[in-house]
Amino acid sequence: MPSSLRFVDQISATPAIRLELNDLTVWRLHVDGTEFPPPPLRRAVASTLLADGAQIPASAYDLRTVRLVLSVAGATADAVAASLQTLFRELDRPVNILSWQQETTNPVFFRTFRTAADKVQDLGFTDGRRKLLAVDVLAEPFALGLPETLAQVTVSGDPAAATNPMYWDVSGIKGDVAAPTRIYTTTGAFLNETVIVAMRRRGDPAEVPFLLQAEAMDQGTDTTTQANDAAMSGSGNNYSRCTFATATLATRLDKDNWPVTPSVGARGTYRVYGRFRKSVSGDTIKVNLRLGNIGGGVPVYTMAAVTLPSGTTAKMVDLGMIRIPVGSDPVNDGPSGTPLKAVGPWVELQAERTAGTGNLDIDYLLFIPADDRLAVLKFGNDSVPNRYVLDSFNDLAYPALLSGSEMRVDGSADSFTLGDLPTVAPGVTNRIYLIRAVDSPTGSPVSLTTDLVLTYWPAYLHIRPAST
Amino acid sequence: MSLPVPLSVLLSTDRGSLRVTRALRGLTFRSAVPGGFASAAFSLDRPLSISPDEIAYYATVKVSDARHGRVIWEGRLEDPGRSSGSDGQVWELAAVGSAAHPRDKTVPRTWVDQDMSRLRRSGFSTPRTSRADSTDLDSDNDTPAVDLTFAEGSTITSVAPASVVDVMYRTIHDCGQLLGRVRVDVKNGQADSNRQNRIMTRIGPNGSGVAAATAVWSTVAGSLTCSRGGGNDITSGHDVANIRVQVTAGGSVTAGVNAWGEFWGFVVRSLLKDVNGNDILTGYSADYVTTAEVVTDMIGRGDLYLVDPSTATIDTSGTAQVDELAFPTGVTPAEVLETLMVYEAAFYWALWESQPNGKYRFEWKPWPTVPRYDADVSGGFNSPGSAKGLYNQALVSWVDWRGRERTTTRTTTVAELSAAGLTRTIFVDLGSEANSLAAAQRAGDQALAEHAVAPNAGTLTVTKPILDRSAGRTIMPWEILPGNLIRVRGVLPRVDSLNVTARDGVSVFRVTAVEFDASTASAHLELDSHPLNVAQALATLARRRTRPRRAGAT
Repeated sequence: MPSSLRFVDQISATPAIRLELNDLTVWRLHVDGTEFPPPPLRRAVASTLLADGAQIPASAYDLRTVRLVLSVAGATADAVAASLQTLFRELDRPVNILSWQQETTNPVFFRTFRTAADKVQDLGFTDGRRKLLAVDVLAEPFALGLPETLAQVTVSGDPAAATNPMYWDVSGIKGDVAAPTRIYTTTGAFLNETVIVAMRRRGDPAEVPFLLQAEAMDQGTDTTTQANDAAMSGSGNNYSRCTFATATLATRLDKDNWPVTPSVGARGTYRVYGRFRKSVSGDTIKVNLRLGNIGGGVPVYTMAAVTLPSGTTAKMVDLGMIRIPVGSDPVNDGPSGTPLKAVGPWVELQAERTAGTGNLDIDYLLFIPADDRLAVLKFGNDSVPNRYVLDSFNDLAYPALLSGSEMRVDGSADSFTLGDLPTVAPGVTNRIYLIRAVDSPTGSPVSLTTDLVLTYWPAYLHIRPAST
Repeated sequence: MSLPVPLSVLLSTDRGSLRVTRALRGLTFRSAVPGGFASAAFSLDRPLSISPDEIAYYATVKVSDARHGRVIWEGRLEDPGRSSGSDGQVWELAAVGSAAHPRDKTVPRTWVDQDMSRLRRSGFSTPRTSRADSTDLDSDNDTPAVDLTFAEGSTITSVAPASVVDVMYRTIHDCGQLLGRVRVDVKNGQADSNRQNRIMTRIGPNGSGVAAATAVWSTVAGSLTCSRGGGNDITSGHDVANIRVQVTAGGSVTAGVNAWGEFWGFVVRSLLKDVNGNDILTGYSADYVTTAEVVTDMIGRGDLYLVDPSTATIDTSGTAQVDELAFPTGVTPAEVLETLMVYEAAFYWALWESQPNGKYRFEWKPWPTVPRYDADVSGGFNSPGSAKGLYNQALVSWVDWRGRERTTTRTTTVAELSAAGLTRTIFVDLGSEANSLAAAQRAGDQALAEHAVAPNAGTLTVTKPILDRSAGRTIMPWEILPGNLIRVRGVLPRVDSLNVTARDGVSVFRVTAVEFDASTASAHLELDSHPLNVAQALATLARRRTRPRRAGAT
């Protein structure tokens, strides 16, 4: 079948066609001169005479230029003029969508910008009934494929759950580069919540040291494991309690060489959250992390102390950022490109009670990957929307109403985002972490579940293969 | 690192929030100490014919790291500039960081005052029989004093209304504060058990007075002291102090030639607040305040109303004893902090990211002595080098309570100057803000300590991840914070460079400012002091405070 080139109204399997540019009757796309080159790469290059070579601190794809060589024909010169007018009207639109299918199974879509024909020339006839023109269409760097919607997942608020414990995996992503996503909730509201969405998109995500249960750590001063509490995560004795017989700063929990197995996947920067519960709301309790090499030796990195919020429900508290391995890390073995395995550090939790009389219950420590993409989302206190949408392409998180299959922007209480929303990368297992009710005054129950649907638009540097 | 710079920019107003990362033309932001987040600049393509919801005066700007969501820079938009030309319709946006907040308010404040020129004869003094004179101590012309005298030959009485010579100190009241401590030294021309020296306190200049401290007349020098929570407690709510001599017994007599009291060593302290705004009701035994107490008081009093008290770091290790800190005509918290840094030169202040309550995290802390960052010169290093900053002598000028210009000279040993046989003097002008020789000497010593090692005033360009030793991880150039030490490899390597733990100006430097440019993905660090350029010189001149100079007293 012939290639199709058309301006359409949306990226869809059945879009409305605004202008067909290769119908072989009026419009014909010419091979000679037509180009769909990949987008150029912009680089920052830092070099001095102090060292050989140069550093590439950052790079980003630039806009791409699609060059179309088209001919237009008609029964009369007026007909040709009318056809040209339809083209120029499409080219003049501030944004447009150009669908291109070069005899492949699936089209790709270019999101284009306003442009004009480079030149228009007569094809040897002076009656105006055939003309040739070349158009350089400026477009976004990546061509997008048809949206791919994955099956709904249910993510648990319990990091010890058997299925999707605060994360879920997405693999088999189509495309050449990381693809924008739209994630929306089908049940489970982020009402007045702070939510963290993070990603790990390299290596084996199973090597990520995500969860460290308090009961799995060595119990320190005045700290012992406690019988099962359904409000805590895990089974059996599922949390630790510090009674503060010694109220001054002391080590309450520690774990040497964690994770136990050295691995490449353990390497990374992590934002550490702890889940704590005070028995007396007004107590002033401060906690901090300490890190060191195996065996608790030097160097020791002491993180800033954090004062736990008031309230007697279990809450998530930000303890700071760490890196595994601690200290200097060459990452690779010389120039070989062979990654060195990272050894798990010694992790210690200190706590002190500067005022009050109550206990401190410690459920777990969460090590959330913080070296890829992590977004901190704050949603407003609006009970109307039935969906919360995370849209990485439009860089927005917003409440919405879903009516049938139609998503409607609610326009209600504002939400804001720090960091970046998830995108999914091809060729790797994308692990997406969802931590809800962070900094919530009412607590962060383990019973929370969130049903999510993820849709992504594969992104291509060139054109789309049949299955990827 | 060969990916797009993972920073995102959020603009927020009360009309809405918008992430504008992809719409930006360039982004630069700067942090410096003292101060914190200083400035940012970027531009947006938006139509000029409408007012976008996200662009408004004082809109919040947050630059966050997309990898972990931490705020890298935060501030507020200033008046946006607009242009229309070959580049289209562009809003040129400049933001001022949280460092600007201490300049938001101007308030009269007094924390400790020894200025006896503020003692004025009050209406409580008995007419015609009383006289109050400003003078020098009869045994020491370098010590200011006030003489309260019953006129010789006049009839003075203990019968109500008793004869009184009274001077009032009301500066604390005029500043809207309360008394914390009052003390004064005194001696009399004659011993007399029927007459007393008193410190009275009251609410307002016309309130009922309470005798907070009393002593019968004696020719032997003594002192009167009263303080909140002390043995002679100051009544709650009192904000005016009176120093007086009073006839308390013996009926009516004729005043002789020795019917006087001479007062000197006057010190008044205001009542302090903790960070949460609660009055501190004890601990006023000293005749000075510490820098930490002043910083805490400013936060608790609401002078720094956007500082989050729960996350404020106020280091109390400073040893400076500030014995004069009074700004009755008004001062900004920024000026107070700059004055405190004169006394505590190794300290700095900074405001950083906002907390969930919308208030900023604040630091008053000393420069660390252990390098935090390790970097090299591969990205570029520039140190023009100048011995201009070395001094081995300081001349401190101040105006004393009598309006007399006073100076004192302090010296230190600087090896480079000694070897060259040079004596270089730095001039420190304290105006009327140092009311004592001790304070002037301390300021001079601090200035010399800062100029004992040649500051490099250089820049270092960082284009790749570097090691952050305090966190045990590598960080990106935009995460580098000023207020820390950096060890730079490739600069005059020495065996002991690895062991250097404090700034040496050779391989270990202070990071005084960091400016990140997203278009080059590089951070430019200013080392040891701000670089010698026109922009910095203009900024320094603009911030320089004209120190008050009191007129000469008779």
